Amino acid sequence: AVTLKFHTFMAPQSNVWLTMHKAWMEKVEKDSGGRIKFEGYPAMQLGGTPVQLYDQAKDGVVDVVWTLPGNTAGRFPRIEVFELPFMMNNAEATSKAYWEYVQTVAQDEFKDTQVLALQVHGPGMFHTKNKLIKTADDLRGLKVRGPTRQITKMLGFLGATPVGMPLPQIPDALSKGTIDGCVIPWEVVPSVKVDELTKFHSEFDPAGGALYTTTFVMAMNKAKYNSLAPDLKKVIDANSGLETSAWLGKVQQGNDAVGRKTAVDRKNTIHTISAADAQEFKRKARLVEVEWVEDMNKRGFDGKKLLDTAKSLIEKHGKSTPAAAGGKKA
Amino acid sequence: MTPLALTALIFGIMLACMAVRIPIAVSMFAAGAIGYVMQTGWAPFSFFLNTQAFARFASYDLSVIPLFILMGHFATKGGISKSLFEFAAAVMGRMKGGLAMASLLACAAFGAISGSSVATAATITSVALPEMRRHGYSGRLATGTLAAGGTLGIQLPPSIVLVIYAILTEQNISKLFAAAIVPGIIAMIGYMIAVGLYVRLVPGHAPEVEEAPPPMTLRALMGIVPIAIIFLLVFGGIYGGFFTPTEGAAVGASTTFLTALLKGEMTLKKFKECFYGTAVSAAMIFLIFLGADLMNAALALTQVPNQLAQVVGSWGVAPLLVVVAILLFYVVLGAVMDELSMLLLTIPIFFPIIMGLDFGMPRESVAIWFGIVVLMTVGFGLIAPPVGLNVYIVNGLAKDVPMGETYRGVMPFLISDVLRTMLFLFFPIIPLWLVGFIS
Amino acid sequence: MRVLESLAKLCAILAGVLLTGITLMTCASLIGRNTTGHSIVGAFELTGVAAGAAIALFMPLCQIRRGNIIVDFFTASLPERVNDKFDRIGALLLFVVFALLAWRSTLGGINVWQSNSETQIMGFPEWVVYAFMVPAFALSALIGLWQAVFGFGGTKPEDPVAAAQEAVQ
Ligand code: NA
Ligand code: NA
Repeated sequence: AVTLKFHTFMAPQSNVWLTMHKAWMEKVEKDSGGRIKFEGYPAMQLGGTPVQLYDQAKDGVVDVVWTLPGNTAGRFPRIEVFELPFMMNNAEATSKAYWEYVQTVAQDEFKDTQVLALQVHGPGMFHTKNKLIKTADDLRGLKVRGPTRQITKMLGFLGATPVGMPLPQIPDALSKGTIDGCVIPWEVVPSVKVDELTKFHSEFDPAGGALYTTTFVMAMNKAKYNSLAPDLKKVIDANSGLETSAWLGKVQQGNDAVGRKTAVDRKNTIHTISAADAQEFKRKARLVEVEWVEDMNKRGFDGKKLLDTAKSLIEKHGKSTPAAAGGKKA
Repeated sequence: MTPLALTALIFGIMLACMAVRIPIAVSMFAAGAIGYVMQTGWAPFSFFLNTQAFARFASYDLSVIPLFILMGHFATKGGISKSLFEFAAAVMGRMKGGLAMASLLACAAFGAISGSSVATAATITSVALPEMRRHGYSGRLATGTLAAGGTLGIQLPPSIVLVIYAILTEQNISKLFAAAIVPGIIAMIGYMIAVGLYVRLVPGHAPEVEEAPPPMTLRALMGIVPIAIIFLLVFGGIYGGFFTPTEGAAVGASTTFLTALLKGEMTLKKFKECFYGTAVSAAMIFLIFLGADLMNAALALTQVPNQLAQVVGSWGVAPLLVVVAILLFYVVLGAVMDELSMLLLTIPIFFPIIMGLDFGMPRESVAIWFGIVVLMTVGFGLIAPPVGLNVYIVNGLAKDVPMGETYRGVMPFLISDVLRTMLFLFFPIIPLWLVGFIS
Repeated sequence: MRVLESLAKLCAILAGVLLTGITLMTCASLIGRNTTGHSIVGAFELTGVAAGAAIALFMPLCQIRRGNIIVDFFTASLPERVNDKFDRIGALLLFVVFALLAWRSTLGGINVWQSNSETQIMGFPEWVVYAFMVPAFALSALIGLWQAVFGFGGTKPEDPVAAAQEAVQ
């Protein structure tokens, strides 16, 4: 039997670890008839930082990792397209698009590892302490914590004061008013107590697209993959790729319902920004897209083509994928 | 080799290295490296090393440590301790044992802007010890009081020990600081009571009649103003929502530096010495961090720590008994080992065990409460024989007092420590009360 | 030894200046955030990377002053000559540790340089930190080796008492 070390930054009690990582590992163990065994190490138990996880898989420090490629901005520039504002509304479909995008126009982005899955989380949205966000103007002067480079930029264009801080500092910063709000998907809400610490939540009508999402990658050490017996390789292959990516995206967006319920139970105000009201946000946020395209051009890629490819792939898979559960409808 | 035997081997190598004067950080590094390589081979370990120093050193969360250390050095060099003690003496001087109590008050005030017990003990001793001796206090009482008073540097926020606990357990630094305030004040009062009882029960250690206390001069009064401003600015800023604890450390370091500059105490030479002092303390701590990282990775690979939590959970002993056992273990280990490395090594193993037990409190409350009782134990270890760092420091500054006298002098305070720890063990509400209040 | 000590002090001062820089930048950023609404968005990332460089640059002076804490409880009764031998073995092991770190961090630095790894929000290149860390580790290794071969030049193991006395003068 082969033992694989699975390493990630997610906490052992988190939904991602329990419903996605553990579920995936158990399925692989079962499909291999017990010939593949996993040792799971959540919460960076084997050292390093989340940013370094990808290199740990590349270098064979561990065998499989699940991490945020967007943490190292300059390293995977082309996949950042999925983190631009108002790209998606369905994590399952967008995860499929992300997988296909990397296979077709960004293949060498993850060439150092055996990529098992590429996925995104459900719709990101506003959570604010004292003021409900209905229009873009409502953001003026608010101190809002941004998750990624592109979204932090967008918050500035929308008139907010973007604040950069690591995710675990959100509860403290919210409770003391160091920030007035943050943008995260529902799924993350309970783990950083945003349901307790804010009163207002502003979702976007899926028809107009979600504010943003974040990309994830599950990758395996190449040499380890190549050393597997052919039938075990087949087991890994069957549990990776487009369908697995879609499944991870779907499960993660499904977990949004859990987070949303905590806010409902606390009788917080949940507002849906209509597709019409979203226009003003989009108009101001468009500059993020423009600058990203310019940045790609500078790096020697065809920025416009990459953006169009991502958009058309999201649209294509959106048509063939059922509307997402979780989020708004829960 | 079974996982358990491997774990024992890793610890054995570390302890053997430590016993023969190999630096603690290097002992941990060596034991961790050997354990790691035995389980994975050389290649994964060597690649792990490529990034681990960066991972540990270039961390925003940990940057609060060198900043608080720098702040402590600015405060120490800034000449604020003298006026602080004059003020405390004017307040407490009239009581029997008043100057000893004033020293404790000065330690608490200095401790409220210093994160280190060493800095607090040394700074206050340099001004309070000559005064106490001049007024006829025995070497035993004077040095014992100052060694114990120095521990208020970590008992009261900011506290390097609490910062490290917060980082290891992923708890909120400002909540832990808030939780430490009431226990820190209780510690100070408990020490004062210990002084009051000691001078009455054991005659001959303090002057029978205190001289008329030094008058409350404007100078003495002005002495506490900078401390009050720095404290209010740092903690008012953190709890008022103007900045995060790390930002608070930066604000504290710059205001302390500014105060020293305004008092005319900060020469270029002293400024450089502050950097050198920070260099030695910070590098020492972070190299231990790195060594502990290797130990912890090697131990995690054995899977023993993960299982330990489940095993202890399944024993069904009273949760409080587990806490008491851990604290007793700390007292024994702390007798020979430095307290910081002890925490770095054991918290990753003990903390999951504690969190797996049911204390009838929310998880976060348990984490904070356990942090506070561990902090008490660290304070205890700093003055308890055979190796009490604070005792060494204060005794080193008191040339004419034998070490044995200082150890005798800390006894009343050790009793106070034990009683206080028991109080918090049975009444978690005391540290948790203020936390509930701020959030 | 004199040269090594001067270099170590230079590193410590450079690190101190970096820390002071962080301090000022943080103050500027939070004043801006709480008044005009303009702040340095990725300030926390710069704090992290600058602290990383500073900590590494603190290492050489710490070793020259023998600040890496040891347990002397078990060897207290042995003759000084024996303890000196132990300490030289300790310095030799420390040389191995820092040499290993210097070597592996060089490779780590090359990797982040080739892969354009940057901090998330500010896009600050990570290789810059490695460029500070590697020479600092190499210097620390050299100091450890020197101490193992030629002894400690009269420097006693960092005595907290002496350090504290010095600090309050
Ligand atoms: Na303190
Ligand atoms: Na002790």
